[in-house]
Amino acid sequence: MRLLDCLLLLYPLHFRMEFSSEIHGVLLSRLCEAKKRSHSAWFAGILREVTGLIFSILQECWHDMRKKMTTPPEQMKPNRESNRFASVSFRLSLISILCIFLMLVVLYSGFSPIPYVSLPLQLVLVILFLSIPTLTSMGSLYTGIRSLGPIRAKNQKGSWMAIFGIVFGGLVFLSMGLLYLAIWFDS
Amino acid sequence: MKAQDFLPLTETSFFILLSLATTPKHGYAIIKEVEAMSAGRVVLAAGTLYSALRRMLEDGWIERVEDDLLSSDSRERKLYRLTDLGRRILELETERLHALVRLTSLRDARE
Repeated sequence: MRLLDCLLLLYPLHFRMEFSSEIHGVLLSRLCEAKKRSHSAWFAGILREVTGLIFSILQECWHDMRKKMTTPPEQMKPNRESNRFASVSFRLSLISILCIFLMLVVLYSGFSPIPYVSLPLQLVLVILFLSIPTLTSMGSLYTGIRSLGPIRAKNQKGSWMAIFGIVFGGLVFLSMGLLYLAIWFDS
Repeated sequence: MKAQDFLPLTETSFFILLSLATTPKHGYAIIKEVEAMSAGRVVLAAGTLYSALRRMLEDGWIERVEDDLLSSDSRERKLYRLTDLGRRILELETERLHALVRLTSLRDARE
């Protein structure tokens, strides 16, 4: 249930304020009912609800984004949440850029800690090496897109942060994608 | 927009409108009714249902009404009911489906 509650936080603010308590209630009833039937029914229920939530979140975010893009700037209101998202997007993009920079330093300087550490630690390092920039750039893109409001409204605090987050988060995400493709073809 | 402009409906939308045709219902009751009507074939996830309800509310097919009764865990529940536009859309879609069935029956009879 906590996982589902966390997923509910990913809905756009308006949708969350309007429906999140109702969705929570329905999820609770559905899962209790499935639990009474059998464990497999409960597991199938969880899978169905998580998949449904993910598709619905994507749909609502897309709807929210389209709405923000088509609303005239003069009708947009400053939104504290959007500014917070812009700031998070900016910070995440900085972390992802730092990761890419470290990656390049390791690749071009020839200094890699990999041969000097044990096998499990090597695995952990490689996973961190790949996952941190990917996840932070994804987060930066997501939060940047969520804060499109201030960008459209112009002259609001946070608009440049969101633009920075989207552009650099996008670039890092793209380069990580290319890196994964290169690894895939190489193997 | 005219009711005709919204046709054809998706299966989910059709079932949701059909479940609301008789009485106003809350989210959980809609899921149960759709499951029963489709003999377990269509099982709506909560996320899918509320995305559809949000769209229908925005387009004016349904409206929200306060439920006087509290749920078992004392939460306030909102009921959804069809508007005139929603009812018209449901009628038109039903007519469209009837016409399709008639057409298929005619073709089968000729063969």
